[in-house]
Amino acid sequence: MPRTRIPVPWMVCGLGLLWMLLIACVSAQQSSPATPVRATEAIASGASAQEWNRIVEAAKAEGEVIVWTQVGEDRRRFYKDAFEKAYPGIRVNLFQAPQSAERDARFLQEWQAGVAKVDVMIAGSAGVNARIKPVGGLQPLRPLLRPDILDPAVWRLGILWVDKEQQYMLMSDTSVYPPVTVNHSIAENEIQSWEDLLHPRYKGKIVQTDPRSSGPGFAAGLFMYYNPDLGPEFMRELYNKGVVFSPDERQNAEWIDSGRMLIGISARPQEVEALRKIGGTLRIVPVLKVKGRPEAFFQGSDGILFVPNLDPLPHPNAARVYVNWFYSRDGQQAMADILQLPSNRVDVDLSNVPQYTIPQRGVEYTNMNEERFTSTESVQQMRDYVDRIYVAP
Amino acid sequence: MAQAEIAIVKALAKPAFSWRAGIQWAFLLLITAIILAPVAMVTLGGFNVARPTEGFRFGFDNWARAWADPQVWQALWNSISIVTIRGILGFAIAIPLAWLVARTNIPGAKWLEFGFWVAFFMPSMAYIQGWVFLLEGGRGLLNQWFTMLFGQPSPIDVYSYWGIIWVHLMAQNVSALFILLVLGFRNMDASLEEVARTCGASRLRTLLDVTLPLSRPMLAMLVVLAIIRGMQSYEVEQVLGQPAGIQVYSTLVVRMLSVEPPRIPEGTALSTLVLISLIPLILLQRLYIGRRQYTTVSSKMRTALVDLGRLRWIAFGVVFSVVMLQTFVPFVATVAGSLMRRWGYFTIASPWTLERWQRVLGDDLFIRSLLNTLFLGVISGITAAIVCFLIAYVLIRTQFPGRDALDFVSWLPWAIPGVLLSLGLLTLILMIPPLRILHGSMLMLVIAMIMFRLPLGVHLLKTGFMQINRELEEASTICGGTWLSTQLRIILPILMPMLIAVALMTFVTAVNEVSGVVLLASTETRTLSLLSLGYLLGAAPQKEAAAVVTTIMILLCVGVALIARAFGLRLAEGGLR
Repeated sequence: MPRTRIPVPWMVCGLGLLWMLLIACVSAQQSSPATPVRATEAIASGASAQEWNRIVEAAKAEGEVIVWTQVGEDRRRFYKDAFEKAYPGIRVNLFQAPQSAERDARFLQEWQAGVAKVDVMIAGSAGVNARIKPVGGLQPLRPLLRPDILDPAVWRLGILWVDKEQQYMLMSDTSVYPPVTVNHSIAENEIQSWEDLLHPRYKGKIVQTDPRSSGPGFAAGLFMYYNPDLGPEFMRELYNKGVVFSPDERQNAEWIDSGRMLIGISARPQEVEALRKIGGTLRIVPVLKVKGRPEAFFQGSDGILFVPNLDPLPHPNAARVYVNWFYSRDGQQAMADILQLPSNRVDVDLSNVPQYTIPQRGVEYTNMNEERFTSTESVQQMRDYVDRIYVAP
Repeated sequence: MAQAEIAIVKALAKPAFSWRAGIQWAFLLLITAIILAPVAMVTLGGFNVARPTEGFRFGFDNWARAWADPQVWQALWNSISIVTIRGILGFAIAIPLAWLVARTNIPGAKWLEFGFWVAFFMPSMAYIQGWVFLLEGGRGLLNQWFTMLFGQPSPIDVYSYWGIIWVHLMAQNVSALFILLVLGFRNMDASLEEVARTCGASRLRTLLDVTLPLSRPMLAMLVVLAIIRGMQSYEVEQVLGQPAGIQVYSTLVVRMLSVEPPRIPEGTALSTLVLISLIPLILLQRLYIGRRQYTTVSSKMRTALVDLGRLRWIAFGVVFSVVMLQTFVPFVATVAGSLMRRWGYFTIASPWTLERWQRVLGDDLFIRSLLNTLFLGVISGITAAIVCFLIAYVLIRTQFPGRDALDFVSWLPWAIPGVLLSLGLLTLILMIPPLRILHGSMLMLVIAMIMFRLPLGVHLLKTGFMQINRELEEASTICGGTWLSTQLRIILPILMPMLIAVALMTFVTAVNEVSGVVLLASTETRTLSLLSLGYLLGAAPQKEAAAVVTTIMILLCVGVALIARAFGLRLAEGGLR
């Protein structure tokens, strides 16, 4: 009887599969067990322990909370894994869209059709302000929060509501994105003010994410456009110098490091730090001057949460537990540790967070998440202006 | 003899499927509705000038605003220019390569063909990363070698117009054309070429005067395909074009969809440009094909190959080099990236690590995403092959009155960007209450996958049917074969390579597609491509972990292709017996 020969590619595929399974088994054994916190540890000072325990038990009976946000494995570790570790009986059903625009489009379709099933949405406040809030798609967050979270004393810069009604969106992270990150070839004091960026030497050598799309470049664009001492005219001059709009933040940091680009506007700190850890020589300029005064901006991103206007929510108790965990010390510590975002809470240890991302004394900051900047009209005005004046290099 | 003639006349006179006309109509209406409805939703969206809280209000404001964008004309010109040049070069490379593999005695033809399949499986990002690694300005490896050799900076930079063209050629442009051309060339009757050779025509002249004219339906389909897909091509232009200031039509549409606040109606209006351009394209395609016969597969068909003599080894070298360029560069770049601490950074301390593999394979979502992908890919692939077969059959083999309309409709899913098409599908199922049960289900994703590959599948199989002489089916009918047995025993085996190609290409789409599934998938139906995206787009992106998932996706496609190939060949042989 002839022997059957196994073709080489099949053998390679089989061995590859076996190898993957082996690694999977090893890493599964290495993963650490969850260390749940007792519900009573998270009790608010003003709320009754009994009442809170009742909510937590009801949430466990519901079994899950549906959270919609943006993609990212690190975000999954924060939004899902950290919460499930804190509340083992409640599973996070996490939906992650590539961009908040896609998430919001899907939510609006489902909400208007009356089939939306979401308890909590996180991040992308500009889009939510522009699209979901105006059509009544949000319900107030304030009534769901425990009194200890609404205590101004626990927040470094006070309670920062994004919406003018101070009901819907509470901002918990206040990230100062360095205005510029520079290649090592740029001398220490070469760039001290926003106006220095207009030097002809930097023509075609400045990169940022598109100010018309959500991301770090968006806040920088709003800052420039609405700053009375910079304004549209400065923006026009700068964007006529051939600033490259590139959406890949990691690549942008690499370009600055390698010298392909000399300057990055509002580069993501996590990317800069990742490069510096492996010997990258790009440098942060933490603050730039405007008309001689140090001025900067901070923004919130992954630390802003919204509750959709659904009556009832699919899991009302679990949603309440999630919301309160998110803004609690535990939730904010997880955010600082996993996403390296500076929480605005005073009781969170920020030693893992790049220090230049934490607001400093002596600098005038603008909160770019305020509704006067992120309302549909404000955003659209800046967007249309950039459309008109931008000249690609 | 007279009785036999009467039987033939009766068999031919009998209207095909008259007793099944109702089912045929129902099937076709269903297909048309599934395709047309979301496309219509998207198209109408371009004319809706109402505010989000209002209903539908007709107007041209979105069109006016979209075309008033100062970059739109330059972007369109760039798109047309890139599509034309990559199309001409792509065909110029793919036609001779496909002919060599399909029509000559080149050594290792089957494995060379499989090499192009592997190239087709590579995601665009693998090509982009690979070529950026080699050809980026002063940093690219090849550019650094150039500087060392010649003492001056290399003039080549992948972030440029020609960089975009090059990466397209090395990516799926040539491999897709090659795969489809091979399928057409294989169904060629060698006796036609032999006649030309006997009459003194050279090999080149035979290729130009016999082989290519007989492949007109295939070539016309590929030209339309290349133009439509070229206009929608996004990733390469986005990554390589932005630093060089090159904006194209597709990047402009995507930008309109992703800005704050999104310009969805304007993006929709602009995106329907390809839809409109489809009409003249299809008319031209029909003019080109004409009413001639392109039958090459008959009972007298001979499949002899052209003997290249000693030249076959040179030909092998050329094809093998292209295969290596198309597979080795992206695959090595992806695998290396998955094993590095930071992709592309070789000079840092301890650059290699298995940490990303451990992280991905230890991820709770990995196994579920893998199973979802396999399920989605296999079901979509098989269903797409069946659906495309039936549509192509109706288009070529029946006198169905709505054939022309169906032919046009079958191109539509490619005329709209994937994300808008899935938005149209989502709107549709949410608008019709009984369909809401499909929301977030695997069935919805299967429908979407079939739609994404429908144009290719239908028109590929259409060319296949055009090549098959009706005498084969008629002979089977005369011998007492039913329609089903004729299709299963005669037509299916002949078309099997094409059916496998359609199934595999749909499988690859299910594995790689992101924009088309993101609005339709739920946490339970997440696929590997979405898992990969999660690593790629986080607050601190893990490109290396995404490379792990990409490597697994490539291996998955190769594994499935090997199985499909073995299974398909067996089926074909069984059918012929």
